[in-house]
Amino acid sequence: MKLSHTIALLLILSLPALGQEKEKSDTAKVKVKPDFRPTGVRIGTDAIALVKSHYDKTFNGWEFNGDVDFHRYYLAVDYGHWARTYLSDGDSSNYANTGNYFRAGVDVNFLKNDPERNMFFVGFRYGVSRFSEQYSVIVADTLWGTYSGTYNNTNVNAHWLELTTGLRVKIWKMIWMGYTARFKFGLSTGSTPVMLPHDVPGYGLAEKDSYWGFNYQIFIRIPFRKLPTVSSEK
Amino acid sequence: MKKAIWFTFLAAIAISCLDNPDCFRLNNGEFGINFRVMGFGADNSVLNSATILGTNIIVKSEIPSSIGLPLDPLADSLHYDFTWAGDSTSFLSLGYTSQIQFVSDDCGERHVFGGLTVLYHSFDSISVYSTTPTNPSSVNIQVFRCAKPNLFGLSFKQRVNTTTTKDTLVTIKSITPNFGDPIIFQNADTTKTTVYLPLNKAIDSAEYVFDFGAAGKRTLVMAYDTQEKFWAKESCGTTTLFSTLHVSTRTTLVTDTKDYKLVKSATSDPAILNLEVIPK
Repeated sequence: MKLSHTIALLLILSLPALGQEKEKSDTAKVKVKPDFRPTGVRIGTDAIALVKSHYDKTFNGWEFNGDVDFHRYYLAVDYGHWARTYLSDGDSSNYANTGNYFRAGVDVNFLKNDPERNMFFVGFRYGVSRFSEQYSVIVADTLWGTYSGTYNNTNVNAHWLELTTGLRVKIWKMIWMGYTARFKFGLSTGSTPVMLPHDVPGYGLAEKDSYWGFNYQIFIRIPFRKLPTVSSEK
Repeated sequence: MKKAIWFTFLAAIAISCLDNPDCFRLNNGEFGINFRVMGFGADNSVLNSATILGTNIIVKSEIPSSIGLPLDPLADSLHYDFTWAGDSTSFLSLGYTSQIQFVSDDCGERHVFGGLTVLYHSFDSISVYSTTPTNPSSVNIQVFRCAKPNLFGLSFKQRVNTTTTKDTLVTIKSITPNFGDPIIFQNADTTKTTVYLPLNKAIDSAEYVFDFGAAGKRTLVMAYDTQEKFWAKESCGTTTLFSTLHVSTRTTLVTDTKDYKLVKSATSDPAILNLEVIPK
């Protein structure tokens, strides 16, 4: 999918939230005081990575997420690890990678008047990853004959950009849940003259110019102070 | 709002599942060479085959003026020897990069080739059009031969009726131009429907004496203009073009202007038919 199409899709998806704000403002004008002091930090983890690590024998990973609010803007960071292992049936080839990644960016909450600060957000991230991978293979080539080799990429750096959208909803007291859909693009990896990277932790398949990712997250919110009151405007 | 959220949720899950690559056209291990004549286009010289030095791999040319050649994933250079019709040969030594990449459990690996570089060659001129091979293969390298458009084609015809002619075999013992060496036809090789004759770039006309044996001798005088071109001067020097070809009145090969037809007034490389004659 082209980048412009994806941006358009994300904007279209955010329109209902914007429309809702317009409707509310028409019926009962509500204004949140522009207080940019943070009120708390939210720390969570990606449930999909944990479940996938349990059920998918080729994947092992985890991801922590955190954000801090500055009025309707949130500084968001993610830190994670993933490793993949593929073993062929006949042991003629196997691939393994492992690495850590970090993302940082900003989310903008479009639910401006929600007293609980529930979120429908659109944002962006800058992601970096450092990983190693190894591939061992026996190739039976009809033209060049049979050959075998073991190839390594060690401590390769990669970085990319993401457009994000999703929800954060308060479930109970300090417990929050939400999801984040990520459109990843602009992957750039360090020099790997012998073997092209297959899978970049935090990004996905390196051969794809763009990639979709999805997190289902559970958070604990630690408040610093009380949320600013939402006052009605006459 | 709820619908939009559910749509986003389900769409994101569905799209995130679409990460399995297909196994179609994974490798780009073949590059294409296109043979051309400087200033004239495709070179229709017949390429029989190319062999890769150090292997028993022989590649036959399946498309006129082009050939696709394989790249070895375990090497960073290959030497190709080309054999042309008439047993003339030429060679090309090519450097490149090769990277392996694991694609998926189902597809296995692929090799990604790039950085095509000509190391050395025996052609007149060569240029790398694209350094990265594609799948299906396309033209990566263009090989240029210096043009020698100094031949004009002459076809012998016989009249079927007032409007139609057809090819005819003519017995020729020799053709002697007023410059250079005579063209001698010997033994069984004496009957011709077509001959290609050299033009003299030093002057603006060329005279040929056809010896038809028992049928006697006739003269063809061709007049023309010449023009010098400097295509890839370092490799080819000066190329002389011949244009506005016409049959001189001093010609005795035909008796009447109705007995010849100028098909093309300029020569080309490879040579083309320029003149059709009905010999008297």
